[in-house]
Amino acid sequence: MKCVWVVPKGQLEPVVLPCDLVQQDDDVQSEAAVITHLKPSPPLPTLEGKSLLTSELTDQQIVTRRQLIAGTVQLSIGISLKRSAPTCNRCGNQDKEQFAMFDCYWCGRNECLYCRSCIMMGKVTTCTPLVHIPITEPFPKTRLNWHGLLTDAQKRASNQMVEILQHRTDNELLVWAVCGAGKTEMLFPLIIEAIDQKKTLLIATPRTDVVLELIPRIRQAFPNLRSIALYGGSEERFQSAPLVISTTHQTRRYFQYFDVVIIDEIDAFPYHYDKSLRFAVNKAAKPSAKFYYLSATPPQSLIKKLKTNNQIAMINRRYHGFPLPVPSLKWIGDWRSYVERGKLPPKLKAWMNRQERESDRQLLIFVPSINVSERLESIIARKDIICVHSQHAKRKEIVEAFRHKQYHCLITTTILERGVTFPSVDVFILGAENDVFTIAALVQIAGRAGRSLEDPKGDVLFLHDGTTIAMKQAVKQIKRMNER
Amino acid sequence: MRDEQLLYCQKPIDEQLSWDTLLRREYRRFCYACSQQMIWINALHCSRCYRPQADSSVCLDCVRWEKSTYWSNKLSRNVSLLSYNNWAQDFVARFKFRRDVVLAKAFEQELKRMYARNFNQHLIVPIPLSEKRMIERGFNQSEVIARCIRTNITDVLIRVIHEEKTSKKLRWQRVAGRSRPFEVTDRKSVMLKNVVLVDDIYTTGATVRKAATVLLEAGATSVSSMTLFRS
Ligand SMILES: [Zn+2]
Ligand SMILES: [Zn+2]
Ligand SMILES: [Zn+2]
Ligand SMILES: [Zn+2]
Repeated sequence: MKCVWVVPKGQLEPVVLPCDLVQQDDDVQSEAAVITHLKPSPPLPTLEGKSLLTSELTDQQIVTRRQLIAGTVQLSIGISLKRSAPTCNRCGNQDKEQFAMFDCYWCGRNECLYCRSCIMMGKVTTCTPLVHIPITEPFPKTRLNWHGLLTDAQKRASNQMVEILQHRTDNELLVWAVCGAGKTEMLFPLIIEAIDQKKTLLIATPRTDVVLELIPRIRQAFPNLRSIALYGGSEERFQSAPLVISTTHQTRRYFQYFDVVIIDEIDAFPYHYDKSLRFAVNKAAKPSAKFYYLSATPPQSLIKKLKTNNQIAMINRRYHGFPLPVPSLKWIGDWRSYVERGKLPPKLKAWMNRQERESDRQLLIFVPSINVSERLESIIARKDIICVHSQHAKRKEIVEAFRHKQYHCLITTTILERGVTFPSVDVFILGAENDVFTIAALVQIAGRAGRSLEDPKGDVLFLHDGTTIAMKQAVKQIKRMNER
Repeated sequence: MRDEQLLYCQKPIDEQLSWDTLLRREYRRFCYACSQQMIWINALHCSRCYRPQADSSVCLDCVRWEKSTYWSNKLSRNVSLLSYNNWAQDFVARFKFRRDVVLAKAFEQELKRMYARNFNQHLIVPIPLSEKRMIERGFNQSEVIARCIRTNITDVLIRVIHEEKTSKKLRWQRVAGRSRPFEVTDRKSVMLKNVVLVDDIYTTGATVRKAATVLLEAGATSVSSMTLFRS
């Protein structure tokens, strides 16, 4: 029997219930999972800084009533229409495909719209009043528990970040740092400055893996600063804190809450082209907020925009001072037909054998699709070789186990291309000719190798069935970064 | 421009194109993974209630219903589209409890076909919700399903007492209850008509039989039911 987190009707606090005890009017908050995977103590809900449905407020309705009358909370309609183009005022969705019309009993109209984009957080319809609750949060005297040193390059970038927060003129900065430049540590001075100024911070990143990797490091560095991690299925979804590390998706839950917004991997999927996420991040930020964009491969448009005002901080070297590993291109023929026939492509096999013989490192193999990752896993059928992808139920556990060296090799789709670090790996890309491996993706993936001071090197192989422009460009970019 | 998405899975359609799912009928509504988990009730099922089983005899549940003098001959038969498995539970959770109303459209074709094959010309009567539930949910899932079949439906039932909390009772305790939760608002419209009730799930068959009872009393010639799922 699996269990879920639910907020029972009329209650504010979520509780864990076995699935067979869930009633129809309970607000289900999580995926069904075995009890061992659900934390035993309930998360404490905080409403501050949120856009909420009144159904989420039941127990505090008296407070809200008073606040509405006093004008301290704002009310808006769920979905507004401008010349018949709808916008969801909670998640910012403007994609017509993501709205559906239904015969609504509440407003008695058969053309009431609802938003399908954020329906998992409760249904927002045209006739739904949305409550926007502002924030008051305690800020501690910051204490930094980190004894490392920043390199000169890191220090320079870090200072630039802090300066923007101290002076009012600029409100954007691009931090252009090679993979493995030590971005997290560079943020520490900025976090200290922000908290001292009683400012709220958001670190938004496209991937759950990155949130999970960042949060323990931040908590260790700032033991007395309350910070929360938000991602799909996170138990901290109801809380607020001065420092929030969130997937871009989950920032939808906020309304004009953050003074400092740090957007990791500005060029990354899905932030790069999903307008609704851009809206979400902008809505979560106060109008006066400062924006920091972090990227190893920033989009040209952003570079152009910020170059003129000197709003770019550059870090060309990794924190350990060694150059980035340069990928080698290896032709391995029609690998796909082997995989489809349930066979291991012989050239891939040879490269894997050689890696195992000659290198002490673990191996990351990137593949173009979930299907290939799963097929490859079953073809190789070795206990110490496992695949992981965005649809994988045990994704978190597997990545953790790989980090603890319980597997020799991890086969992955591009979900791991960014942010996630392993100290000592060689990296193969199988099918590097595939369109999913853009220049940015290839540079990022290559950047997974040689991350630690103990092992600053690592082999990167693009195994392909025909060289692409993206592959050549990626190699060129990496070489260029190494020259600077 | 955003890619066109699957109605249910909300994944871009073209992700599916590379593998062998093109010809499946779930295409454009469900992904390959979903279509693997959905169990359409085809040849083998109870001839009375569509319970999936190894042959097409009348199942024990139906035998028991028909043994009871009170309940026998209330419901002519039930017809369902899919087996109520884990996948179906997730679907219902999103459709009914998350209230993603448009999802019913995913089964529009199949519902229309099932109706035409089994109940052509029958009046379509959705199982109603109580006023209270209606206010909570904002729509009646059975009515939404019914309107997928045809916009012209006969919404003549009302629910006069609030549904019991069914989950707390055992299957057969529920069946024994002879409460009368339904009333017919317009008797004339069902007089001497064949009626098909529409609901989302057929679990024990108690709900549709209770509805059938009042419809027969109002003069309906026969009452059958069709549902999306059969558990
Ligand atoms: Zn929305
Ligand atoms: Zn409405
Ligand atoms: Zn699916
Ligand atoms: Zn039967």
